[in-house]
Amino acid sequence: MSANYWTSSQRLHWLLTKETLAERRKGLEDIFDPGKLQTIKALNPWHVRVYLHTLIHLLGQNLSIRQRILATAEVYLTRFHTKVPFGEINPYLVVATAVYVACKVEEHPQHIRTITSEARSLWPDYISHDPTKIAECEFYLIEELGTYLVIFHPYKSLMQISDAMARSNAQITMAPEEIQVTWSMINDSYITDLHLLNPPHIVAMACIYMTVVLRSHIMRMTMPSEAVKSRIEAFMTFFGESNVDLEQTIDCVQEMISLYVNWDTYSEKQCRVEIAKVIT
Amino acid sequence: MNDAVMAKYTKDKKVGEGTFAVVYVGKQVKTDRKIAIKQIKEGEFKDGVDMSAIREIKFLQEIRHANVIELIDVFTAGPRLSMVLEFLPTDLEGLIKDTKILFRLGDVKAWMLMATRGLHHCHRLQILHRDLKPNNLLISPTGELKIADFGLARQMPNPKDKMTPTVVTRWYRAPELLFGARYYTPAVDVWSLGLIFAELMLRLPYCPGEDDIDQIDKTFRAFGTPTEEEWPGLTSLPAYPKTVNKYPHPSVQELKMRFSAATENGLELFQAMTELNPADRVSCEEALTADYFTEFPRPTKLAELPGRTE
Repeated sequence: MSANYWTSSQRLHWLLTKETLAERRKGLEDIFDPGKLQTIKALNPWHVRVYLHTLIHLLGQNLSIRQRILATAEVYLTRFHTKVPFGEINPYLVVATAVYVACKVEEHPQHIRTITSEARSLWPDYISHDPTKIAECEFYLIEELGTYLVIFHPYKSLMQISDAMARSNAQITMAPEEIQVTWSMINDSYITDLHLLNPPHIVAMACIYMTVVLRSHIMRMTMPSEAVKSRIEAFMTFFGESNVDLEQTIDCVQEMISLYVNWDTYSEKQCRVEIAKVIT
Repeated sequence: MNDAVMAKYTKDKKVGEGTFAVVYVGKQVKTDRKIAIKQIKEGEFKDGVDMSAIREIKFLQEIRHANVIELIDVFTAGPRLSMVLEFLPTDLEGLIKDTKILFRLGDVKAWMLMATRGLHHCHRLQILHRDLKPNNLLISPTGELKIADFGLARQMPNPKDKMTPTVVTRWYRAPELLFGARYYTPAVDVWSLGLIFAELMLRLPYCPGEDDIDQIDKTFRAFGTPTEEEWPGLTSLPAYPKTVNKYPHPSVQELKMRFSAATENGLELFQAMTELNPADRVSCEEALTADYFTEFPRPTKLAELPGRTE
């Protein structure tokens, strides 16, 4: 992580506790009438999050936007929904706007017309031809973010921690395949609230833990199981000595496991239909 | 929520208009503190918030330093973003041009020290300013110098990411940018600071090129024509001219003549900041430890600096 995370707006203004986050979300429910609230509450919140994640990635792929920028867009979306509840505003428009703003902030600006027409070709029922819709939503989004736009991600921490692991003990050098797996887990972590609740290095450590310890079968292909076991022990020693908050990291691991458990029962088609009912 | 933020400030008088913003002065109601409100203009075709505005807001929300302009608040009113900034009535360009004011050695040193400290902080946060010039170094009512205008600033990119070389106002543009380098470093800002240093000593711009080609010639005339040997890779930079005029590097004697009031340590820092090869150029961190800043005369105290209004 860059030295400047510690003085960043992310740490000073957008690092929440679980309690504050829960309170904020509860407070948002008041704006709905009881009937609508019931429809929204019937949705599996994990599934909604997975659905939004796939929307962002679909738009991102069609515009060949890098993962890092999409990660920024996802954090914007998560932050936005701590101020404006899901169901209050057209989610397709917010997704397109979050990607549009993230591209600008990450110095790969896309023209508002490009974003509009690409989003419209994907979701013609929800996105109009008119680019001013995204321009208006941009103001709204930036305002709800408190105009704090710089986002720190765990990708850099992953590289730094894996370097430190290799230096401390050659036995726990991460294999390229493990780095790859951890990287994708970090991509998935944006579906969760982890980026509102933890600094990036904790999220990185949690994903590394999951890869090295819980998915140690990756290494079992090339290593006898005794060696895998002693490798896990060596990793736990490293972890223990690293001064990274153990409890917080394990909390993250649990959150990631909940995500994967819920993902198993996710159906995109069903989710799309259910969400359509909420937003019409 | 935004009406509440807006109500905290008054907007009294329009004081300036740029390409992407209109600036007003006003007051923070509660404290009676003078402030400036920079209202971002709406794009002509409603193209969304301008990149310069995005950059300025994004970086100023992360930087807190005595020598960088303070962003106090941001609010939206209608479809417009407004930035509430600290009130900085004077800038270095105005002081340089005001022939009634005499600059003492300690004054120049105080301004250079404050500018280098502010820039060092930006570089420490991995932020390139990319538009340093006397006009963007503002002076507070108490005489403090503050770096402003982050409309061209950007985060230092990953090593493989290209950047645009068309940044920095021409007279303050580093040679690597003049040659179209797509990969560059914080050294581009240090070059600008070096040119500002020269301008503070001479009260005239040191390399006032009339166009991009003339800028290269004036730069070589002032600092000498670099060779491939001094700067490996130089001649393969994208916009390196096919033919260049060869000028010798100025000797110490020559520099002493050009900057007659400067001390040897002052000239040494100036030279270090304006090394043609960016790899040889001094960093802000190193510059701050230069003997120039500790030798006599001391940097002038804020209360005795020209340009303060309180």
